[in-house]
Amino acid sequence: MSATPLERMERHRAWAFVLPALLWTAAFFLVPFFYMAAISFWTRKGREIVATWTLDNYSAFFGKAHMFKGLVVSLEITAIVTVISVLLAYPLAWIIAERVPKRWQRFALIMAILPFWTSYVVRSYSWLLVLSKGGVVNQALLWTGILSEPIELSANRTGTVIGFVHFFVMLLTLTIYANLIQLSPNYRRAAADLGANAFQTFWYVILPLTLPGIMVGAFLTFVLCIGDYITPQILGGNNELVLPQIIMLQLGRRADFPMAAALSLVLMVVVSIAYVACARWLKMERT
Amino acid sequence: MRHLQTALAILYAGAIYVFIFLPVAVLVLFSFQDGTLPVPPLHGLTLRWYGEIFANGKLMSALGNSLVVALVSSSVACLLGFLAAYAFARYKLPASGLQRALIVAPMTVSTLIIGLGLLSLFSSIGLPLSLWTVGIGHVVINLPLCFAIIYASMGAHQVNIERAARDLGARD
Repeated sequence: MSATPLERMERHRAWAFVLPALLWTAAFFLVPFFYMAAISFWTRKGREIVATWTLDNYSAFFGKAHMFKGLVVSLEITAIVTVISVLLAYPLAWIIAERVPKRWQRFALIMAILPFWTSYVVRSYSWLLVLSKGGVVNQALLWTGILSEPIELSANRTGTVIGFVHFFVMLLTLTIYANLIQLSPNYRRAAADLGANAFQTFWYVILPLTLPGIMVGAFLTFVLCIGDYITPQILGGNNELVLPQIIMLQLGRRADFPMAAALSLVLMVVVSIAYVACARWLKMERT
Repeated sequence: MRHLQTALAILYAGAIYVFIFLPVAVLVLFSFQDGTLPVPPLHGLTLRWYGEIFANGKLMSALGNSLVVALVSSSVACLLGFLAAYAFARYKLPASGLQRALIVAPMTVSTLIIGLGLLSLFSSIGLPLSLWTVGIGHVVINLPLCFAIIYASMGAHQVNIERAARDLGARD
């Protein structure tokens, strides 16, 4: 079956529309990625990259305790942040979807994600102002007499986690809300007809149906959280470094590009494993 | 019972909204601080810091650079994303699932790694770093988002609107 001229013209036009995006992604995402993957198996002499193949960078990662610990710290912080964010965001999304009158829902949602549109740097810096020893939270707790001494809320893991949770509560509220409002009220009616109480309806009907929204948000949280360098840099202090900070150290102080590339690939493998684990919920569907 | 639930809902939502707005509110408030430290106590309100920004040529040109990079890179990302989304929604393309996966792939990669990859590529071909290379990186990061959002909103009803437009004599 050969294509008619009209079909061929249509197909040419379709390719003309798609190609710019494909070429851009290929040139500035795929090519750099494969080049970086190659570099991760190379070595360096002083500040020069030498193309001799070796596994040294990877064995250094698994052999040097401070580097491997970076991955462990990253995974721990990401896990804590993801769990807390889901637990905080779900009730908010549910309240907006179920308790807020229809015409106010849009407003409530926009308010819940408004600070989303500030940059990582601005958000982290403003949390530093809030959490520092002389900051608003400590001052308020001292003033009310709850504390007698200011407590360290920044320059440690607590600061990093608070900074991350703030951002991802907004993200997860969005994805879970989008999922909740798509559910037909018939599910709830059916559950009630079958004798389920409010808790059973939620646990056995609503929660499983909103799992895709939770997983999409949790996966994005995982990816953005484990790859972020700015929030821990500003709020986390220097006592424990996450993997992205260790990657930046290789570049800055040591100019060790092959090592930085190898660490980046380790990070990508970790994200890929998370993707495979969540893949069944992450299908991109058109609505 | 119903009242208690409503009260709890308001209390909870209120607490989360405070959490969400706290850093932004503090930042805005202490940007007017009449003193050198942006922490309590508030010594009084002043516009002095804003005056200093506008008087500082370096800061203003940095702001200008941010605006230019943001405008150009988001326009390019939206344009490329729109064209691709349109093609996938309207035409049958071979291996379209794979192509769509390629376009959204950068979303799953840390921006740090995207930046590192571009840095290694640019330095190996000898392209000097500039606002242009910054913009290229931003398009890589934002194109998947633009594409996914526009693609999701191009449902069947959009096709019908286009058919209606064509029936009424509008050209492609």
